[in-house]
Amino acid sequence: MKNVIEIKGITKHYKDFTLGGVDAVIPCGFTTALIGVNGAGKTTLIDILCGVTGKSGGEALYFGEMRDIDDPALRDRIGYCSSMNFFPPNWTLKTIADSMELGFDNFDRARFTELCRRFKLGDPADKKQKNLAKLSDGNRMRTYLAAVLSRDTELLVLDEPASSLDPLARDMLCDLFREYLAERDGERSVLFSTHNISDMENVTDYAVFMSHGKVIAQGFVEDLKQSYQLVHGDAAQAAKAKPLMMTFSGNATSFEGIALAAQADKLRALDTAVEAPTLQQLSVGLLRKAEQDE
Amino acid sequence: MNKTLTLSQAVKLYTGSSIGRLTVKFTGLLFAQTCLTTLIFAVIGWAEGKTDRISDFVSLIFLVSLMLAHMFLLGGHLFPRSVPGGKFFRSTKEGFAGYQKMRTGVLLVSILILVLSFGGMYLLNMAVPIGTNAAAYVILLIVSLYMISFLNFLQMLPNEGLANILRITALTLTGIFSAGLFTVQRVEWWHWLAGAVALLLVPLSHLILLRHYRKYFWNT
Repeated sequence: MKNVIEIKGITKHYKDFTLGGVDAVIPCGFTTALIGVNGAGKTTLIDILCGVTGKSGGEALYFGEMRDIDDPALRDRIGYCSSMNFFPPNWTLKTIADSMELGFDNFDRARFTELCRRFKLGDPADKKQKNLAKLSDGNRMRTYLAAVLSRDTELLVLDEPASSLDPLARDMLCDLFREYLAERDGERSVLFSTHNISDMENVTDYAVFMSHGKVIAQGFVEDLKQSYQLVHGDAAQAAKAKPLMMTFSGNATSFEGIALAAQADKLRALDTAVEAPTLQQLSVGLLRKAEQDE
Repeated sequence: MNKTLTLSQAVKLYTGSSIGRLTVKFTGLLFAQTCLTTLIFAVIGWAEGKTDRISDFVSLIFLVSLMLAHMFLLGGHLFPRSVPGGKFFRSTKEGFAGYQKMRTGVLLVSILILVLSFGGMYLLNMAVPIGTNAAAYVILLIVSLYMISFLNFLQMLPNEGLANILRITALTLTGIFSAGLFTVQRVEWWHWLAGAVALLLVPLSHLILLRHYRKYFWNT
């Protein structure tokens, strides 16, 4: 299987935070979610991968052959946008189109116009336009998405794209991911970060979990779901089940948590319910375990 | 096909205006304001029969406005990653090379404004005698070139508060000395020497600023 990015020991030191030796792969042709709590290092990693900030060490291999993120040919292959203040607030749809056209060789103005209409943002050719500062958070994010999706790229990297979107817009975002991948099946990939995977679960193929600047787990979602199990049962079995589980939370009547699949038979023998977790449940379990271990 | 940005395109990418448009905008505003000031003081001076004081007021307003224009042009465009647009600009195809071109383009706009506005003042002086001469323009041009270098160096100060205090001080000093500078009658040899140093200092301060910016702002 091809990887669109191979991350080898990337580090970044700040005064109060260290992104420590990240090793991960982003598979080609799939949607990868970078999952972690706020401050886990997701944005820092994405910024490094897209050349928005420098790194202290390590390297990344893009598309199996390119290493220099300052290479304009590589930058043209990656469509990146952040969720907060990506463009200056006084910019309008027209200013964005003008700047995108200059900033990237593969920006398609007609496609931008089409996406703006589809997202009900207006027409970039209109004389009277609202600037970004006057738009709602959701419409601002839609504008960023329209801009980045108007480029003919091979990898889409979005930092927290869903955080300011309402449920319907999140659903539309999932559709956009599918469309983007389907346009060139197997050749395009998506990487997005999130601290709340619940609404994006259906579209996620591969997951990289981060905590305290490190990657704590990664893999295809279906494989991860087979490696871990969701366990729940009555409080009476809690004491016996707890040592077999990775994470545990309970009250006077019941308990729930995540366990390794290898413990499934022992847990079933304790008369507990063992089932495949959702990605959201798995995320909570893995991230909670990482918090406890820290 | 990869096309590289021209200086003007880089300026447009960052500011929304090309080099030509920025120059026309700033020079036009500056010249319109100077014409208006000259007219007002000329009318007052003629009415009171004190035409010899016109140059003092006009030069004060002109130089302070010129410095404000430079401060506005050269003082901005830092775009840390945290400010709106900072991440977009860093992600564009030419990255720092594009930023370098934009800064160079803006410096070019500054110099064009200088040349055009002094040319405009010279023409204005011919139309309305405000008591200045060609020597004064040469010296003021030299002083303005030093001001451009000074503003470049100020951008490297990590303490923004101190940088602002120094900007205001420079503006005040320009205001205080502007009248005296405008009445210089002859260009001495040391004026030419200072001019040659100023011409070297402008690109040097620009290169030092870019190097400093890449190390302490762009990549952090």
